[in-house]
Amino acid sequence: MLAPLLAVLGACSQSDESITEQTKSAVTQTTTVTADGPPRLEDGSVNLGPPPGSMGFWTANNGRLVNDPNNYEAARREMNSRVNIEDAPLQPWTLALTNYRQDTFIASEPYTRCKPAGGPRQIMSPYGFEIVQMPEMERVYILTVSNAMSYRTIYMDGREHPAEILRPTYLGHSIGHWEGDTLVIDTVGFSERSWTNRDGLPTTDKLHLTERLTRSSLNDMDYTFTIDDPGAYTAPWTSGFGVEWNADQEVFEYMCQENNISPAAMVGEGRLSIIVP
Amino acid sequence: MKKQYIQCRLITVTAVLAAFYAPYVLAHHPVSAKFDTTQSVTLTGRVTEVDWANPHTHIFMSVEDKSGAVKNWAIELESPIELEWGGWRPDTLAIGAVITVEGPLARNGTGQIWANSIIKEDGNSVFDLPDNILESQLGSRVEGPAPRWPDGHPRLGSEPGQSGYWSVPSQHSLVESGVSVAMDKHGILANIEDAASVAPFQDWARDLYVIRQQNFMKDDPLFLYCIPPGGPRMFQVPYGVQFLEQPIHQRVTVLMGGGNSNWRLIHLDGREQIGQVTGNDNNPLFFGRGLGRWEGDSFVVDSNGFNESFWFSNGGLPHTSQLHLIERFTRVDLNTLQYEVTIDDPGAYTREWKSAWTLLWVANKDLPDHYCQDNRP
Repeated sequence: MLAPLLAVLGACSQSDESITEQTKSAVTQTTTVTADGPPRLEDGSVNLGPPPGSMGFWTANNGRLVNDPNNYEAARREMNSRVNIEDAPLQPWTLALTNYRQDTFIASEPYTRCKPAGGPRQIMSPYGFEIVQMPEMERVYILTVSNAMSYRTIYMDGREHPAEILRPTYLGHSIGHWEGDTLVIDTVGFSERSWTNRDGLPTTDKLHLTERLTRSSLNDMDYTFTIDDPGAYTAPWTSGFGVEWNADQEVFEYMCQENNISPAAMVGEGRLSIIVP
Repeated sequence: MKKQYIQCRLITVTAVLAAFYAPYVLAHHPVSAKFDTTQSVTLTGRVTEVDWANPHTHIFMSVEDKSGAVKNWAIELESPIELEWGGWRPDTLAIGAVITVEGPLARNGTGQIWANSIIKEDGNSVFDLPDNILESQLGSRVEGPAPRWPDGHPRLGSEPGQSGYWSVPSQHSLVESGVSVAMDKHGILANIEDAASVAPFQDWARDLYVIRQQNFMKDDPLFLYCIPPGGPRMFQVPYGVQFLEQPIHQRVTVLMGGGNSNWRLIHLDGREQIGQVTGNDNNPLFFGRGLGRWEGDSFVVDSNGFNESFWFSNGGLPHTSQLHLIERFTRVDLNTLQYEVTIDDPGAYTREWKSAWTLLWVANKDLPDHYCQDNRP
């Protein structure tokens, strides 16, 4: 039993080391300087990016949605999620699916096939993300470093979600507003083509996600989310984690597909669709 | 959950051996890369699934042959983005509907067909698009001068309180300025004899360009693996680009409406071209290391540090890791962005050369959501 476990852990750590060691240490280095409150933009709203004249971006390498002490990843027991997997109100079919995904060592993980991932999974991107506030455009963008290197648009112009979403997407349709110093993001329109987290928790196209980002200081941001998905869960549930500021660093190019180019190796010949080129 | 094999009668399977050209070829890659457009067949069957996903929509259809065996065929269509611009919806075709499809078959012998036309039982055609569907992005527009920042230089984006992006390129492949050759929207030459005049190729690069052309770009990594369009190609693709200008951070971010909704950074902070994190000589990049500056009303971007894992133009013009680009963006009025690129690649070309085209402003819209990975494995 242990050998395949180690093989999986080895494979995971290998994929995490596709950037140089030098970079990795740079990415995980955080400043210890404490500041009084968060930096702010000229209009007084919290600046979720670097203060002018400086660089920085966010990582939540330890981010988990849930804790499972029996999880296959023993080394991750100490992570900072706030609920146990037993407390996630999974419906019977999603519980069975989650267990299946874990029993099969997350072999069918879409993320490692370079599928974009939204919501909490974007915030816990292994190599981090940057929040780009464009107040004049009434938009906020999140630039993701890892995975498919996608950006996410958050409309801050007071619009509603579209009445009908013909084509659900990995990242969904996000609208945002400020509640005091907290950026609240409301997202619908998710496809079912990605997993909500590394543990394999499923969501459906009924997912309504609420996220709250609160930067309390230069270096600290709290991320809380509520998953309301009557297709997959018996009740809405909330979790979250802390996000850390990487001062004097900046987001960088990461192209998942660069060395992920064999459909056969990625999914096995037996699962190839005829439409794959 | 999918692929219900519903019986249906075969009406016709007709191979037309005469030369045949698909009339509608706006796809991300030439239809001919995957389908043998010299032949066309007609199939009738029953719809089992509609996969409304990028980069291309697929309809699955069960067809019964003369022996009574039922086979599920994949019918390939344009991207759902374009189909939606054309007014079509994922529920335009109901599961179980009987349709007749005409188009070329996949070269690899699998059960795939590109739909030149889809006719329903009631005789109505569905999912057809006008040739100029990309121009439907433009909507109604007003004329005006280029908007400007308080410091005087033109805005690459919208005025405050508005939005917009750039699309509908006037040229779809690199071609040396002053050279006029006929090519389609993928950069496939009408006459392969024109190849040597497209750019000052070194012999090997010209030969590779010709091979890629003759293969209808079937080895294009953008098509095969969703590798993003780096270099000038990001300004040739169908779904546009958007600039996020952040003067306080001395940075411009280019958002892409194609690929996997990717982003490219251009720094204006006067740094040396030692690159961003990970962009060193041992790790060349898809988007290169871009340094920007303003020269009068032109935004000039100097980039190097490219890898060789992508195609930097439609049409398959080669480049090497010695590629050095100077791109000039000049917004001459509200609706027009002039793009001029100087290509300096002593690994592939005999001298420096230039290519230029324009992009048009798509007012008060945001880039379409496009994830190339959608119906990849």
